[in-house]
Amino acid sequence: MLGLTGVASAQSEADVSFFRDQVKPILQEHCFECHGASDGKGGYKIKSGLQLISRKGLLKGGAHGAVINEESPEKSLLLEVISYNNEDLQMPPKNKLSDQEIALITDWVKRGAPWTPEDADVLHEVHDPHAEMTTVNDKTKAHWSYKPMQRPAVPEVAGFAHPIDKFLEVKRQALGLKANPPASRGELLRRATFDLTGLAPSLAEVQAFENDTSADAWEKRIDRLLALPQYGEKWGRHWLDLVRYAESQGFERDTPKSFVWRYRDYVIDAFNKDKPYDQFLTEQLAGDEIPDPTAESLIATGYHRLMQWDDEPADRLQHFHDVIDDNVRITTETMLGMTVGCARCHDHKGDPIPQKDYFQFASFFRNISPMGNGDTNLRMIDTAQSHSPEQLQAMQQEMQQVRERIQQAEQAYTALPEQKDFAVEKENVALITDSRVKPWKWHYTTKKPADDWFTVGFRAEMHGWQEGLSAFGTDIPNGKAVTSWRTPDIWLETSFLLEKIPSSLRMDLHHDEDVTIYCNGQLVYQKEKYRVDYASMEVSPAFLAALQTGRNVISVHVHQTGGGQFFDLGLVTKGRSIRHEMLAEQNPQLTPEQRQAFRQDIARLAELEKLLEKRVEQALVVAENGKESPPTFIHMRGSAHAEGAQVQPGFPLIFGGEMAKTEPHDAANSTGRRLALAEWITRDDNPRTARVMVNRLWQHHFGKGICATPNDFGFLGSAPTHPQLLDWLATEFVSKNWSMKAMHKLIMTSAAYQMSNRRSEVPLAQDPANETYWRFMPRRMTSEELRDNILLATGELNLQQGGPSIFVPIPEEVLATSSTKGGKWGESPPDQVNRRSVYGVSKRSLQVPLLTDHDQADLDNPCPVRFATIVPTQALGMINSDFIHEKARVLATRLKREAGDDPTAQVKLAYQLMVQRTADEHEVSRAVEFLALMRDEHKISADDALQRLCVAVFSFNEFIFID
Amino acid sequence: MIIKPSQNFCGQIRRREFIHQLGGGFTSLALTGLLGQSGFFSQAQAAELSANPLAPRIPQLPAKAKSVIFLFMYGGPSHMDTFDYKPKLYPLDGKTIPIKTFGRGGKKNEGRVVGPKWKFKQYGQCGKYVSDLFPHTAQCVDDIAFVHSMTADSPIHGSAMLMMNSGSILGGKPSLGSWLNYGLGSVNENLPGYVVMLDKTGGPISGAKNWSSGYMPASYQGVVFRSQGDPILNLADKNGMSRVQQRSLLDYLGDANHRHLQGREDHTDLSSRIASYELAFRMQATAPEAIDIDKEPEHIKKLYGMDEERTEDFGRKCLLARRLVERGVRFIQIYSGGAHNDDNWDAHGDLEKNHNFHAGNTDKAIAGLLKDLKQRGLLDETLVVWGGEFGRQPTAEYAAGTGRDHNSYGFTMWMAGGGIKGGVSYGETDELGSQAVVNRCQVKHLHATILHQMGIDPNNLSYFYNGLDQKLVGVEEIDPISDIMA
Repeated sequence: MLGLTGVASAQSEADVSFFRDQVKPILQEHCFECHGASDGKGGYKIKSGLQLISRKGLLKGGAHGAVINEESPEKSLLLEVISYNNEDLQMPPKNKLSDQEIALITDWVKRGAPWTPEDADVLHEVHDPHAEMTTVNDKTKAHWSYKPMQRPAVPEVAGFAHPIDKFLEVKRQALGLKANPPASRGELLRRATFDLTGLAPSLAEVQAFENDTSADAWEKRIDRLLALPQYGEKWGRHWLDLVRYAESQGFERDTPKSFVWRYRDYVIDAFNKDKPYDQFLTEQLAGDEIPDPTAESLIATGYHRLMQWDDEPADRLQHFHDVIDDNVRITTETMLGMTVGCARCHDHKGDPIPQKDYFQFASFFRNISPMGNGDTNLRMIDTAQSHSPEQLQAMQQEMQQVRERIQQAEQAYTALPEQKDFAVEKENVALITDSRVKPWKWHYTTKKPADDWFTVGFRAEMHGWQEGLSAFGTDIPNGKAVTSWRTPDIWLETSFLLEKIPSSLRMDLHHDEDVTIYCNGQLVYQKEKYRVDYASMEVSPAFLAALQTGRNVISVHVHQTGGGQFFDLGLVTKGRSIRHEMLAEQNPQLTPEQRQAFRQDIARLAELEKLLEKRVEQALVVAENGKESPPTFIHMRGSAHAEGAQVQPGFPLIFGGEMAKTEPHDAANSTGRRLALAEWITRDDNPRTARVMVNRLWQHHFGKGICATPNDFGFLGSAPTHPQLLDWLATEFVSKNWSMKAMHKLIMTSAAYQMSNRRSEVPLAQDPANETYWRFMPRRMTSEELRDNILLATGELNLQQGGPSIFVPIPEEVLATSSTKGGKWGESPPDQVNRRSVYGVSKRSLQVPLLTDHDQADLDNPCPVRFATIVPTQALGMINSDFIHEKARVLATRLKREAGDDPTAQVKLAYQLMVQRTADEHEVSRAVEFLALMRDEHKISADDALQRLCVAVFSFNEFIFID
Repeated sequence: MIIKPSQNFCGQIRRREFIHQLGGGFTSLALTGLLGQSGFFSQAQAAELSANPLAPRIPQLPAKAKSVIFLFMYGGPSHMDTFDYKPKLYPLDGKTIPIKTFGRGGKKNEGRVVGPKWKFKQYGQCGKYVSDLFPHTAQCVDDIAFVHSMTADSPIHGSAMLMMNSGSILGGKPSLGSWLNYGLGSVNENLPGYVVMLDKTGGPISGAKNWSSGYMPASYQGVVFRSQGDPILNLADKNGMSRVQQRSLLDYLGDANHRHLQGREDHTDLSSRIASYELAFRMQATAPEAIDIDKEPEHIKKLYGMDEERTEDFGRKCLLARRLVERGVRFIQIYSGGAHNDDNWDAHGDLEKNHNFHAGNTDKAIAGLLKDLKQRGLLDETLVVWGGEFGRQPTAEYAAGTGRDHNSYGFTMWMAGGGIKGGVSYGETDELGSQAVVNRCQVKHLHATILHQMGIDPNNLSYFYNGLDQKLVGVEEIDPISDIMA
C-alpha cells in the first residue's frame, strides 16, 4: 500500500514507456482538447473541472470525482466512461474509442496509471475571480443580506415626519435634490386604488376624496381599500407570479391540475384576512404538519404541486428530482431571495452556496409523494373545520341577512312594471343537462353501496364514489356513452340548485335496463325494462313535491341483466327565472351597481351555504410517503444517476449551517421536515425572510424594490439603494406581527408614496433613474388590470370571488395552434367570462393572447418582476381584436343608455368611466369632432361612430398608465 | 459589439443584466442605465434595446447567414428511410436481432428489423444516397450538409420537442428563434422577426411552448403566421373598419395621447407606446404585401409544387418563407405535420403510408425552396435546416406491421446554405442506424452551428436569469460543427 502513494518510485520504467508510447498519444488525441488544452484565447479548456494532462489531474478529478480509483483500478471512472456503458456519461463524447484503444487504457489503469515523470504533476492554475464570494468567509458573511438584521435608528431629518421619508431624505439631501410636491388627489386615489385592488376608482370616489377635508381622509381611503376583497385578488396575483401558479402539468398531454384553484383562493383569502406572513409561509410549506391543521392550511400545501411535470419523462429518476429542484428553487427564491439552482450541479459560482447546501435543502422535500395525473394527490377536506364556533355563528347571521337582501331585491324587481323592450327569453332552464345537451357530472359507483345510499345526507363523494360525465354505459343506437359502464349495476348521485320550486318539470330519460330514481331521499320514479331512445316526460306530482329550494340531490340505481348498458338523465324547468333576468346585462331595469350588488349577494350566499353545510371538498395537497424519508445524496453534476455523499436536512452554511431538528409527524404520516424548514424560515431573526417580503411590498408600490432584484439578494443581485430603510422596514414588519396590511399602510402614508410623478429639471438631470425617490414613477397596467378595467368600464365586470377557474375566450386562430382540437379550451357562461383575470384558467400550452401580449407572468418560471414591454403586437390587439371591438360596442351601448344621444354627454361619460375625471372643453370638442367625422366622412352610423370612439379610448395612455 | 468575452463557467458575473428582474414597472430610461452597465450590450444598444427590444444589432462575428428557415418535420422522420442509407438493414427485414433501443415503448434489448421500405439512389456530384421518398430534394444534395450523428436527450415527443426548439427537455426556456432575435434584433420592424407556420392539422404538442420566449420578454416569442387569409392575429381591420377610418381613429388617439404626454415627456414609455400604434398601422400594410403570393410568376409557384394539390400547402409556406427572408425576417419555422399520430411523421403503425404521405407533401416544396433561394443568390445568406425532434428505430414497434418507434440515440438532420458546405455528410450511425457512433452530435451542437452561422458566438450569447448566465447551448462551452462549414 505504501508503494501506491509514492507514485514515482512505484512505477517501473517499462510502465512509463508503455504509457509514453502507447497510452499518452491516445489521451492527447482524444482527451486533452477538452480537459487541459489551451483554448486559444489565453486560457484553458477544462470541462467539468477535469484536467487529464497529468497524473495529478487524474487523481484530483473533476465534477464527478477522481477518475482513477487507486484501490480498485477496474472500478475507475475513466474506464466506465470510455466503455460507453453509462448512458449519461460517455467519453469522448463524439466517438467511442476503438476496442484496441480501450484495451490499452484499461491495461494502463490496471498498472496503476503510471505517468511520464516530467509532467506527472502539471496542473493549470485556474483563476477564479469570484472565489472570495463563493465560500463562507468574513467577507461573504458581511454582505448586506447575509448579515443579521439590525434595526437602524430613524435618521434625524427636518421637514419630514414619516420615518420612511426621513430615510429617503438623507440620500436626497446628500445630492441636493428636492422631493416632488404631492400628486393631485385624483391621481393619488387612482394610484392607490390600482395598487391595492388592480381596479380603477369610480369618479364619485375620486370626487368624494377631493372634497374630503378631514385630516384622516387619506388614511380612511387606505383602510377602505385594504378591506375590499379585490385587495386579495390583486396582491394574491403577485404571489401567484412568484410561485409560477398554473393549472396544468405541461408537456405532451398538459393535463389539468385538478382543484388547484383552491390554492389560488387560499392565497387571495390569506391576503384579504391579513394572515400573518410567517403563518402564510408555514401553511404553504407544512400546513399538514402544524399542530392543528385546518382546511386552509391543508389547501395551502398545494404550493408543492404547482410545477411543470412530465408524465412521460425520458428519465423518470432524473425527472423526479427535477420536480424537487423546482420546489427548492421556488422556495429559496420566493421566501429567501436566494438563487440556489446553480448549486444543483456544482458549488454556486457567484454566492457562498456549496452543492451540499443545495442537497441538504432538497432533502426537506425528498419524501413528498410523487406528482401524478388525475386524482393523484387529491384529498378530501372538510372546509368548515377552519372556522371557530363564533365565526360559524356570525356566518349564520350573515347568511340570514344576505337571504333577506336577495328576497327584497327580487320583490322590488317583480313589483316593477314589466317593460316591453327588454326580454330575457323565458327559456328552458336546465337543472341537469342530459348528455345530448352537455354531459353532466355525476358521482357513481359500480360496487354495491351502503343501504342508506339514497337517503338525505348521504354524500357520494365521501364514500369514494367516482366522478364521471353522463351518459353512462356503452354506445347504443340512440345514445353515446361518455363514461364507460359495463357491470350489471350502477348507482349514481348528482345535485342541482333551485331558487324557487318550479310549477312543472320535464325529465329526459334514457335507461337500459331497470331504473329507480330518488329525489332528496324520496322515491320519485321507477321503471323496468329498457328504452331505445330518450323519453321526454312531465315529472310526477310526487317528484315536484320532493323538490326543495337550495341543493337538491338526485340518486339513481340502474340494473341490467344482459345486452348493452345505458343511463342518461336531464331535468328542465320551463318558465321565468327572476334571477336570470336580473343578472342579464342588457336588462335596463337595474343599474349596473344594483346588479353588481345583487350578484355579489348571490355569490356570497352560495359560498356561505357551502361552508355551513360542512361541505367536504377535494383539493390538491402535499403528502409524504411515511415518517421515514429515503436518503438524500448529492448528485454529481446534478445527475440523479451519479450519487455522491449522503446528506441530512440542514440550513445553508452561510446562515450558520445548523442541521434541522425534525420530529416525525403521526397525523400527517410525514417526516416533519417541512415543518422544521418552515420554522427556520419564519424565525423572527431569519436574515432574509422579512427583508425579502418588505422589499416586494415596496416594489409593488413604487415600481421597483429597494433591492431591484427581488428574488436575488446575493452577490449577483443588485445592491439595495437604501439598505437602512430596508432593514428598518423588515424589523418593523416582524414587530407588527408580520402584518402585510400594516406595512401597506405604513408605506402609503409616507410622503414618498404620495408624490407627484412630474418632471423637475434639476433632479431629472442628476438622478434620471429616480434612485433617490425624488418623484413617483408611473407604471403601465398589468395584463390582468388591462382586461379587468376594460370590463369595469363597460359595466360587465363580475366581481364574484373564488371557485373553479373560468375560460377567458381565445380566438379561433389561436386555438388552432394547439395539437388538440380546440385546445380542449372550455366555454364559460357569459357572466362568468367577465370575472377578473386572476380567476381565468391558466394552462401551460395555451394562453390568452391579450394577456400574454401584455407580459403576463410566465407559467414555468418564478416571475418576481413583470416585464412592461411596448411592441406593435399589443397595438394590433388593441385596435383590431374581437375582444376590443366587442367591448367597445358594449361601452358604446352603455354611454348611449346612460348619457343619451348627445355626443357631448357621451364623451364626458366616457372620460369619467375610463380615466375618472371630467373631460375638458378641448377634449370634448376633439372627440365630438371625431364622431362627426366618422359619421359624415366615413358614412357610418352614430352607433358605429361611438363604438370607434370607444376603441380609441381603450388605448388612451392616460387609461393604461397609472400616474 | 454585442458581447464581451466570457469565461467558461456559468456563474460569470455580469451584475446588472437583470432584464428579467427590472423589466416591469419603471421606465425604459432606468433600464437603459442598467443594461448599459452590463457589458453585454453597449450603452447605445442598451438604450435602443430597452426602448425597442427588437432594434437591429450588428452580429459580433462575421455572419454567413442573415436568416434561418427551419423545416421542422414534427413527429420524427425515419433517418434510415430517408437520407441515412443502411444497405445492411434490407436483408435483415423480419429478423429478430439483439439491439438496444429506447422509445415510447421503453428500453428494449431486441427487436424485429423493419427493412427500409424505399430504394436509395445516388445523386449529385457528391454521389449522396437518398431514398425514393425525396426524389426532388435529392437533386440538391450538392448544396446540403447531412449530419447523420444527431442525438437528443429524450425519445418522447413532449420533452424532445422542447429540446429541439429550446435546448432543454423542460419547459420555460426561450426557443432558438427567441435567442436569435434577442441577439440580433429585427431588421424589418414592420414584420415580426420570428415567424412560425403550422401544419393544417394543428400545432405540435405543447403548442406555444415550442415558440415561447420563456423567461425573456414576450417580444421575443414566435409569431404564428398563417399562409392564407389574415397572416397574423389581429392584423386585419375589424368590424368593417376601413383603413382610412382607422387612420382617422389613430389620428384622434394620437392627439389624445400627445396631449397627455405634455409635462410627461421624460417618461419615454408613453411616446414609445404612441409610436407603436403607428408601427402597427404600417405592419398592417406590410404584412399582407409580404404574403401576397399571387404576385409570384407561375413558374415559381410551380417550382414549389403549388400547382399540385398535395404540395400546394407546404409549397405556399416555403415560398412565403422566401418572401419573408427577402424582407429581413430572422427566423422562420415551418412545421410539416401537426396534432397527433399520423397527422405528423410519427409512424408507429404503417411506416410506408405515413412517410409516403408526409414526404410526398413536402419534397417538391423543399427542393423548390432550395433552388429558388439559390437562383436568387439568397441561399448564401439563408440557412435552411431540415429535421425532426428525433429519428426512428431500425426495428418494429409492434409484433406486426412496419411502424417504427422513436429514436433519440441517432438520427439525421441536414442544413443547406448560409455558409454551410454542400455535398458533405458528417457523422455516422451504426450499420443499422440504431445509434450515432461517429462524430456524435447533440442538439446543442446543432444550435451552436446555427447561431455561429448567424454571426453569434454561441458561448457568448447569454441572458442573466435565476443567478445564472443562461445560454441556449448550456453552460459548458460548446463547439459548432465546423466540419460542415464552408
